[in-house]
Amino acid sequence: MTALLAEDVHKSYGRRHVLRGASFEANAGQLVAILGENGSGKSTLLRILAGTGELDRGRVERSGRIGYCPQEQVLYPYLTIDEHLELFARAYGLSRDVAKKRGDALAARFDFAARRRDVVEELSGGTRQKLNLAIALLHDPAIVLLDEPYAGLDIESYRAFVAWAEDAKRDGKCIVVITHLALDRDRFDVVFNLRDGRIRAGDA
Amino acid sequence: MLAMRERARRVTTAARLLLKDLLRRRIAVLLLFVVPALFDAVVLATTASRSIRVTLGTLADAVEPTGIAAFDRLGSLFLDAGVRTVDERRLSLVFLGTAAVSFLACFLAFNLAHRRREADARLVHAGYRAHEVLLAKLIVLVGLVLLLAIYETAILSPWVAPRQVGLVVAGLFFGGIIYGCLGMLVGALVKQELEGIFLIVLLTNIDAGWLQNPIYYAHSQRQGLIRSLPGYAPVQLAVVGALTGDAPHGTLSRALVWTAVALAAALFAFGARIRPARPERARLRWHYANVLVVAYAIWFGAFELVGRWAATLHTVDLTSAWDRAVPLVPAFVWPYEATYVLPLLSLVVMRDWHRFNVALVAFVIANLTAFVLYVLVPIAYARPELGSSLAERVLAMEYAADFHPGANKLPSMHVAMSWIMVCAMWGQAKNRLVDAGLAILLALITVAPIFVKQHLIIDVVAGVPWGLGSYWVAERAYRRLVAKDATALEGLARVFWFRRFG
Repeated sequence: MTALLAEDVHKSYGRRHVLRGASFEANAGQLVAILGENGSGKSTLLRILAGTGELDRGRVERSGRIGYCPQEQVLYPYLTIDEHLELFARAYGLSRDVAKKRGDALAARFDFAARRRDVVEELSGGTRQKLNLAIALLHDPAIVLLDEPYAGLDIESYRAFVAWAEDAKRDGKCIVVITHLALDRDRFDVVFNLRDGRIRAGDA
Repeated sequence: MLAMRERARRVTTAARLLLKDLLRRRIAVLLLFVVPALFDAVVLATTASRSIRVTLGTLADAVEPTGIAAFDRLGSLFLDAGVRTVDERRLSLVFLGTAAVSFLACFLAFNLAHRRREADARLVHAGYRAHEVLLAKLIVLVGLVLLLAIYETAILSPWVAPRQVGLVVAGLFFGGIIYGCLGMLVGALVKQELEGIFLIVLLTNIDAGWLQNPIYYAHSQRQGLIRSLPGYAPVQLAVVGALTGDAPHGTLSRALVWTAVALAAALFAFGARIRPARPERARLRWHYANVLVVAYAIWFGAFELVGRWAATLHTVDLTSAWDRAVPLVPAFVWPYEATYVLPLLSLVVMRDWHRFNVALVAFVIANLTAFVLYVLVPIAYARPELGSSLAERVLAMEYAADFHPGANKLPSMHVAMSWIMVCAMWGQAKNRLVDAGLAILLALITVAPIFVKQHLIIDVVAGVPWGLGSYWVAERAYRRLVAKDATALEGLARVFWFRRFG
């Protein structure tokens, strides 16, 4: 079942054409990678897929709730991990019990339970990234869009992420990961290359 | 009811956590308590306690001189010029207290908006409504400003002994809230933190920290300019409340107007920053609203230029017997003015934006061809005397803004451009009632210039085919120039050689 569809997506910043008709399709239960060089427009594409960025032309369809983890750690500097989870649980419309259960599960999986009462300013880059991820996953979305999710993660956390991705696939989630590293491309069901603002059929 | 309660919970949760996020920054809390006390300490250490005469503009009676010397001299004996003898130290304490609250509120609101705007946008993307986040920010801001105003009044009181405490708190509060909103506006607009801080320091210092000082105001050559600034009403409220038992005139309403303006600007700018991606129609509407502003500015400049030149040439009067027979009906000024609203209306009803592009091309054709005739046949004719009703006063403004002795009349661009706009809008709303309304409005706009004596019958009769012909030519030219599968923005770029959207 198609979970995410992008057709002929165009995006320009002034005279710079970043996306020139990028199209792709991702299904439920798939782990998809979008590869590309620095500045190739991967993050722009993901923002458009997530609905935070506007496209100039084209069409995007989503068949479920989105969980979006941006590349930058977009967090409140003086709120604790728990306060972030509380605030975003409200945004997602989760009940207190469900939010607590999911927060605990994510804290255990990504190993940040001990730092839950620390404010973001006091956290390491890796722990901030875990929180960044946890916020995107808190509401158990059907489509997960992750922009460079391993940035700053240590090897154990990376393994935890891979294990989570495998479980999520089995649960029928569609996971799209943006990365400029092609080292672990074997883990993905589908790999797209974004070049010159386009994803061609042959690139998959 | 349940939805309302849930929304209230969302807003209170956001407000509570945003407040925590702000106040955990130790420097912010330190500033909140230290800066007002520091300002007061500086005044106490440096300013003498002595009597000085100052002008409190808000206490002055506003009267127009009659022109009869004896009356004016007599009047000046009884009228209040706002001059008061006050203690310089007490005055400085209140004035700088207001400046301190304004500056702090501006700084806090900037902090609340700028550093967190990406996180706020993420919150909106996650499910918060943009207005819920804005409301939460506003609650935090209002709460902090109120606390600041009360704190400042409390630390001033031993030295100032305010005569009207309520007015002092109100002045400090309004200073904080107006500058808080301006701080939020700056936080939404600027990219880097440094330029934002520079801007808010500059803004608050020049207005609240300098020009609004009653000592400076008394000798200023531009008191009207100072009165129009955002810091005027808050400082006047606080100073008048602290040092006199008088009631300031119209200051509260001035403070409320500035609050409303600053608040609307801040909410609009910040809301635009954190809103999620807009659907295509809303995006295009916004693009074309910008295009419209630019088009208006260019048209206005060109029309003025040609008109001013044509008015210097030898003019002719083409007034016919029919024109003389038509009475002046001032009420037609309203449909006359409605022509300026038509393009805005098009932003609401338009679906096929290519037609908007065609209308823009038609405007260019209609104007350029008309300009030739304006220069060849500049028309001037006598205008009727006007009364004092609202419609006549609006009409008087139109007459005053027109070219003298006359120009830019044949053909009526007022009529031509309205016909072009309605051609573009026709059928776009997919609603016959809207089309019927447009037809009636167009009919009224077409005859209005004759009844308000802004145009002669011949101008209007020429204006209709001028508009229709221009639209016809523009449509054909557009079809030739723009590919069938091009988007409206690409079409716009193609016809105006405007590369941004190409």
